[in-house]
Amino acid sequence: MIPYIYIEREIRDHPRVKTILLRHKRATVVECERYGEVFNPKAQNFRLQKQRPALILARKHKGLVQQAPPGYGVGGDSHYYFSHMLNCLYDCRYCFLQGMYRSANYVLFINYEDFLDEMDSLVKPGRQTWFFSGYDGDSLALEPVTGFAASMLPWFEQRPEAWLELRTKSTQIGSLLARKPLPNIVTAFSFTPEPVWKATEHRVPTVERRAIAMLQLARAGWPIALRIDPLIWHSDYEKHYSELFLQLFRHLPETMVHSVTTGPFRMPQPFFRNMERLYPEEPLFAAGLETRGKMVSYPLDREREMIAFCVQEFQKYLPDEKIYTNLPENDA
Amino acid sequence: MILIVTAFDAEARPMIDHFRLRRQADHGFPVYAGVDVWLIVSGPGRINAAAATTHLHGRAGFPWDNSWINVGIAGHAELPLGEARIAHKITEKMSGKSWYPALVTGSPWKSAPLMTVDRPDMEYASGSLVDMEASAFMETALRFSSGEFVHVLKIVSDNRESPAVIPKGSQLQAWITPHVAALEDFCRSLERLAIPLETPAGVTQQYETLTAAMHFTVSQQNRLQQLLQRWQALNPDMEIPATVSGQATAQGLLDALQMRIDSMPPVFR
Repeated sequence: MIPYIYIEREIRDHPRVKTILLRHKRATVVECERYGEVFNPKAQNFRLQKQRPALILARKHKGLVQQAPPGYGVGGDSHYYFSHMLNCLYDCRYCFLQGMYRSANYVLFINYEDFLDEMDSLVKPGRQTWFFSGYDGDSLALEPVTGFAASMLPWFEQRPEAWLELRTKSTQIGSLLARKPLPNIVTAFSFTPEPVWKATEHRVPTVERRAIAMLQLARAGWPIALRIDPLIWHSDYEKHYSELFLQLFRHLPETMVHSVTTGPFRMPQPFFRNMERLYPEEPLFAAGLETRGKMVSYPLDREREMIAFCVQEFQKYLPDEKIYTNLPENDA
Repeated sequence: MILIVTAFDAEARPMIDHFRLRRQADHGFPVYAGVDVWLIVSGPGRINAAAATTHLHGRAGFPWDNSWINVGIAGHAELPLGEARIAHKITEKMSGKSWYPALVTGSPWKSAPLMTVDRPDMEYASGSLVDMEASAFMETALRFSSGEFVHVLKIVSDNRESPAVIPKGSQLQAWITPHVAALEDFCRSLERLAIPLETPAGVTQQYETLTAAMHFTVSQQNRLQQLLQRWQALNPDMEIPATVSGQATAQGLLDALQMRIDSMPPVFR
């Protein structure tokens, strides 16, 4: 249950706000001028707030859609990302959000139409343009509250050269299954092996439940993708990743898999320091990482070894043209 | 530790009795202390509240991330006298600045917005609680503690039907006393929040043993603390091996410990 909902004064009467409030009749509503008043103050602790996050409803004014960094594509002509939400229902210990933000409250930008307007200006005829959703929060986990995916689909239906990736760890696929599939909407499910899920992906549905949701979507005709990212180094990682891939690909028709991508755990140093301070008892942060330039990551050899291993495993199930590795350009 | 700021002696009295606090020999402000509770009486207004909050912070030993609470009376247009509210938004009328206390534990009281003014507001126009200290208390206490630990509890002392007059001490005590037990529960729940933020006892013990046994420079002490934390994360409740702790120099020990940790993948089952 969401105990508090903060609302920017200017959107108090927005229909989407009214709908959300109807779903949360017991929440205390607090007005604010700008979401940053609640979200950005220094004296906040992400770990403590994660115990009982509030929801902040806001309007995003600028920087709605951003260019994806080089090396993070899936074969399109151009790649962009955007975030209709900041923060996530889940609590994954490796997630950069806990190092980037001081607050664990969820921010939902309700002006979806402005995101679509900005996307419209970026789509060029005859060029495949990708829009990645789910950078600053799970794309589907709060779908019953946000109705975000359902609002996006009609726009993408009209623009076959625009592709949308919905990245998720959730099983909230109802809004997709409720309509006929679109070939340019790819639902990308992120996975780590079961032991890593158990230890680090708090509140995330089990690997099995997500694998079932993925299969349901694929069987209904929706393209799906797998995101094995970040790769987590741990004892017996090869065995655990092999088991995961077998579990995921065993029943999945290859034709419905748009792509699989993988990339190592990497974190800007200041974010990592914040995460370490928040969770000093976390084994994930304690061993095997090094600072390289401005990033904290596994040593290059270890990264390459893990990626090579995963690519080799993917090749058992998928053709090469569906396999991508996410590495910053200088390391690719 | 619980740190309480009130404006008036009579507001403080029910908490002094409940927590069995003793008057301290301070100049400047009346300060009371118990086992793990401190209380200061600031006097009315923003400047007094800010100064008293700072004084109490120093007096209590400059603690970090402890529970701070401003308890006192406030006006409200409609709420009945004696009704308590915890503030979910505090706005300073003079500056227009607002604070939003993060209520991450449940609260025994309903919450309400609060406006801090410099002169008593007899019109009750804002629809909020109205007081004269909370914004300054918030701005100051947030320098010493994360926002989840800093709160304002107000008890309604006047409304449109019974406009502001200076209430008698006995009346103030009668309004505040019924809320003190809940106040303690609330503050203790904030204290429990802070537990995961503390350095584990195992790390502290090993750190003390090792630094007592050989000389570490300040930067080596920091590195030792960090490495012990990492060791503990990977090997809960296990001391570092004798081959590491038995090194002849601090540098040798740190390097050996680092090497052990780096070769140790986390185990997830």
